[in-house]
Amino acid sequence: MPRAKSRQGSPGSLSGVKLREGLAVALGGALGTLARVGADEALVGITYGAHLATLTVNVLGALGLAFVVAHGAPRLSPALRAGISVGFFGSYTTFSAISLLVITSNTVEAIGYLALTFGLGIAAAFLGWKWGTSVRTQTVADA
Amino acid sequence: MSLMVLGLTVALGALGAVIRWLVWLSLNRFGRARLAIAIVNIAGSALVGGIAALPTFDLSTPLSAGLCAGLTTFSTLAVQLVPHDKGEPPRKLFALAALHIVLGVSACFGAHAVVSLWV
Repeated sequence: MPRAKSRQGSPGSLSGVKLREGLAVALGGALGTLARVGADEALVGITYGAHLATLTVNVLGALGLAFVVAHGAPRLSPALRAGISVGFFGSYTTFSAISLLVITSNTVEAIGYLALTFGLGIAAAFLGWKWGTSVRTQTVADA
Repeated sequence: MSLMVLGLTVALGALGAVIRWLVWLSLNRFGRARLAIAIVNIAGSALVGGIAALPTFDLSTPLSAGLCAGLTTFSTLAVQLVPHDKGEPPRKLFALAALHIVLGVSACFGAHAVVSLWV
């Protein structure tokens, strides 16, 4: 049977399915970037505006991604799931902006910002996970 | 932000997402999803630190807010850090968070310092 298996391509090869996923990731990544830049632009000129914009997208994105992953979105195609999770939520949220904000802040601001981001981010992901799990369980119970 | 810069930023954000997905695909099949996210986050942090040290140029925003921000991610890391019953012990999750913070911020700071010396 290994021969039959190898004909389907290895999991990482760029088969037709993977190509569709890749396009969905690119499209989701573009939309996620647009939404994040929108949040940045909306808070330009406000004290700690860049900090606040990045914190907001990261916390909201953690909530959203955890919901999608825990729920599993079984009715969506694998490509659409990848586009939403890896593409949209992956690009909507950012780590490089956190690093840059930290090295350009003073020590107290940097530690406070990291604590806020990770504290609120993990709490949001925890809630999103519970929410996604309960919606999935509810859907299964209704069916 | 001009429409041109916005368009380039969005396009490079899409490219960053695709690179992150390819890194994730190639490592996830060996069960190394956490390593994949650590690699993109540290690499993107270094890149944005280096760009920030350069005098502002046309591609500054597309590269930092597009490519670096799209390549790196916080949502996936936050999901990896959620404690679960019978899951990883909290000290391991704490170590994962510390790894991203220490290596990510150091890479950003280091690249900024190196590029500052050079320009």
